[in-house]
Amino acid sequence: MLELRGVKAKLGGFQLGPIDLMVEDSYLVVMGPNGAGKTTLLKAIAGLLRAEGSVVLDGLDVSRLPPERRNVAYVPQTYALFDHMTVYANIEFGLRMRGVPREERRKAVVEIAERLAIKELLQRTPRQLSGGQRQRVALARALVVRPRLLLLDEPMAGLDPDIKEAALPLLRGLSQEFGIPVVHVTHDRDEAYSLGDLVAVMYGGKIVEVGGVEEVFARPRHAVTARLVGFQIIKLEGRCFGIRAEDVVVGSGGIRGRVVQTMRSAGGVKALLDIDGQRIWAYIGSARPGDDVEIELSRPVPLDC
Amino acid sequence: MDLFKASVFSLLGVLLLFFLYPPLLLIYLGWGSLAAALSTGSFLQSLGLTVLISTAASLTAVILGIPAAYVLARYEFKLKELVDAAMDIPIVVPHTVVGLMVVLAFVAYGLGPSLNALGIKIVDALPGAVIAVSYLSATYAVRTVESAIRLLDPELENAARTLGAGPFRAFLSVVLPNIKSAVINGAVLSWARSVSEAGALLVVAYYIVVGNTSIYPASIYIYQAYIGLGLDGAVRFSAALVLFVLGVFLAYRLAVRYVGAEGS
Repeated sequence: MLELRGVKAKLGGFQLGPIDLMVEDSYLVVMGPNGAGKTTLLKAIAGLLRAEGSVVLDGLDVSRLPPERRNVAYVPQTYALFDHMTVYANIEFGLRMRGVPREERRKAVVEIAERLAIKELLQRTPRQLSGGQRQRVALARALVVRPRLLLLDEPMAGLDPDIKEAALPLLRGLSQEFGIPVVHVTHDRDEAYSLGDLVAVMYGGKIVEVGGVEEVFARPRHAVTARLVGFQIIKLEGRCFGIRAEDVVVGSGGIRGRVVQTMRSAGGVKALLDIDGQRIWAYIGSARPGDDVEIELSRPVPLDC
Repeated sequence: MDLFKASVFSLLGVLLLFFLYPPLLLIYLGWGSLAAALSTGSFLQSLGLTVLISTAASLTAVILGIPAAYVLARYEFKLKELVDAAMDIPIVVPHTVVGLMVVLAFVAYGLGPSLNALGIKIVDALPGAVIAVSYLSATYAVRTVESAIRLLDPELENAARTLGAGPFRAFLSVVLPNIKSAVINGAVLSWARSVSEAGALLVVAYYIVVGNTSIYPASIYIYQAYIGLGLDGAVRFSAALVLFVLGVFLAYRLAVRYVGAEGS
């Protein structure tokens, strides 16, 4: 279990936190716009930057421990594989640092390589691997040391869509299979929805919303969250609402707007509507730029903004 | 070939000619008397002394330069710009002035009296020569290694740390193997810079007393030959020195290629 109590860090002009958060042995996805502090949060948890407050892992306060003694595995966006070593030596690295005897190291490396289906890659070097293979090697290297927590910083960022699709079930199984909490940072809402048990949304160095993935995706409370999970924001009579394009009904209703632009999309023809200077997308049957239309918002979600 | 390409290739040709014509002419003119130069005992002593001074300076530059380069590449701190600028001072100060500064700092003032009390001689002695050429060559090692560290993903060290490596172990296991070509490059640049040094040595170590013999550093030996024997007399020793340095550079190129191939 991971517990953060008042975690704060300063990085140049950027202030992280204070962050209070508790993650049982589940998969937490952290979302947020660029510069929200997601990677900084991971680094504060890992001990890679100086932070105030407490990081508690399985009841043990590790805040004063250096990264090498926290037993927190960290997989950065670049995977940071050691190109001057073979895949075997990469995976073995953490075990060597812990003084595990050679034969035990060999067994552990082979076992994790089999579990992640990379056994045939062990004698290659990271430069000879594809993006998906590199990701698996990075995960194997992180998990072979049996960490108390796994931190993943945008682990899908450089992958092709089909490899990404294949990697989702692998990541999804990690938390249950290894019985550890996972904190996974991403921009991608589909990835977050597929993987997360919990979603935390960061903005300006703070967590603005946290909750179960279904709840956060269906009924976000904060405008930042709503935007990240695919809602459009509109202000009506001084209040903010989140609305998805498919919930904007064009042709009837009490709101008047004008079609600014139309565009084909996979779901049908979309129109950009202007409502008193605010612009939102809607699916339409037939309308042309310049047409005045009546609009109704079905299932708008009230938001803090 | 378009006009732009033709222009830049022509200018490259001019520069190549400018770089290669003088040494090739020197080697051509000195080729016939190379054997005589290489059988002159005093010149061989002088060459040996230069190699010793340059190697010591190069090692000093690398040993002190790697940590300095790491700090400049990885940390932000107050007065960093000042520290960064200080690394370039040896490049902008005239070399004879560097020689004078070494005499002032290590003989007349500062550490001078302490070193003297310890019996460590600076002027016309190996320590003085090494200090002078180290001062002038360390910048090359610092800058070369610093660039390599800047290009290295800092997440490599972060990953190593979270996998259980302390900061020193992470540096030795992950950073150093990835910058070894740059370290060799920095060492060779410092070495080459030291071999060619004359200005500072004219002041600090015109000759070095070893036992009952006075040995000139190679650059000063050649200067002496030029003064005493004229252009023709200096050519043979100059050609021998240039061939020797080119040989070392060739060996270095091969070593870097080998290290690069090993790392890929």
